[in-house]
Amino acid sequence: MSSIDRFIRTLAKTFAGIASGVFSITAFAGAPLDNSHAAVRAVMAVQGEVTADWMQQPEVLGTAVGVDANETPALLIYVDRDATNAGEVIRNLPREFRGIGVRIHLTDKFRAFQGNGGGHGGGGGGGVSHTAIQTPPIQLGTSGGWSKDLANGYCCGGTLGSLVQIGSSQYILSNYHVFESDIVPGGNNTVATTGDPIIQPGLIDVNCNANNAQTVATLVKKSSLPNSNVDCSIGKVVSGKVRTDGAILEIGTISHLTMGASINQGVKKSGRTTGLTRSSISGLNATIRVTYDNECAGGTAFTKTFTGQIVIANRGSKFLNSGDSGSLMVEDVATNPRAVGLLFAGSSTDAIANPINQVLSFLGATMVGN
Amino acid sequence: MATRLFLVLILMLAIGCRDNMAQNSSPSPKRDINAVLADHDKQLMAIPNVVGVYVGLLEDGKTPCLKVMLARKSADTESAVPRSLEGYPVVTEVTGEIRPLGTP
Repeated sequence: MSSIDRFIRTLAKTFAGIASGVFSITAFAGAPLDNSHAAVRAVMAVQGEVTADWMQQPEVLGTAVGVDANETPALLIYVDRDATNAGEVIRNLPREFRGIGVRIHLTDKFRAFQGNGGGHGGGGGGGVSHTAIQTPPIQLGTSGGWSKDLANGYCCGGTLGSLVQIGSSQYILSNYHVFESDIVPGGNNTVATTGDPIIQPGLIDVNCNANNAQTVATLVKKSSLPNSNVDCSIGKVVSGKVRTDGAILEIGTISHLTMGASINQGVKKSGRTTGLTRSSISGLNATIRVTYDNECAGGTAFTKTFTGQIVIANRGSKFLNSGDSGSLMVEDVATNPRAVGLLFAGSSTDAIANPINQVLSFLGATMVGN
Repeated sequence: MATRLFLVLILMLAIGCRDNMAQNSSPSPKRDINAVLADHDKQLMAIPNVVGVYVGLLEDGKTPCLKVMLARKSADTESAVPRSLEGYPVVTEVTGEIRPLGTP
């Protein structure tokens, strides 16, 4: 376990202790303010939404569920009392968020109250490679694609985003344009066909040589485009090659449940090019026009107008960039996040996702998760 | 003293009446913004240089609006996009082309 992991776990335990103390005290005053209490759940929802974002400021040490002076559940923000600009950070934090009161607590830095372990080699979250070949069973959120995606002097690929289940079988979920958009013999004298290998990493990360990658699934052509409203495709998992719990690099396992999108909702994804990134939903119900090639670096196949899509802030392509297609977008919570959308397109200002329920409905699938 | 209190009371009533009249004179409730989008997206998407349209919020973070995504900045496109539709603000933003994000 990395020092960051240990720190986060210790922080979580500290907060849990604080929170349970708060709850046990207030329990005497009326209905117990436990995790089933509606007001507490409302604060927890806000906490899940803002914590990762606000904690990007080094002065913000953590958040917790507590109560205000009126014993009303509120969101507590712990600010480093030794930070030189603590005052400015506090002034910039809202006093209320989505109707939930926000209380600021100045505190010393949190420390782990345990001895040092042996320390393992290898990094924590920031050091995870999303392009390297993995020892099977692999985690998703990694580079991958169709094994023959090589034409016109280029090779192509994307992200093996997540795991879905249809009947009793498991499938890797990605995009149509990552797995099966080669629809003309063209520059490679072949077209994508059911049964073709789906490899990890994708050709782009193995010098365009499939022999340097591993087959983790076989293509099940779904032809979602151009006629449906989703850009999806699946590959049937080769036994033993993919973690059966559907774990995603730097996200971990997810929930088998899904959730609808809402404006300003915090989201994250794990993808081939930009790794684990976070952003927020900026628009809903989008009608979007996207042009597709007929093979890797080929000519135009068709222009598709999607409706009902999700728009995510993507300034400078920091959330989503070329090669991240196929990533699963999930709610930005630490444990078993629910899927929100399937990322597939964008520009340097906006990213676009299919609503995940439309994707699952098209496939007749469910997410694999807890 | 009583006269002052009476005047204050009259003033408060007058302000209350004015606010009330302002509310009464507001336009009838708007249609759901998603329905407005559904009825106008084809019209907006038909404007050259428009690549997308969606329901978003103004910069105040709370006012619903329709956002029109442009492939590039263009005065012609700006003038062709209505400023509002059925009472909702319409805002343009230059997003560039929206493209699939596989490699290369």
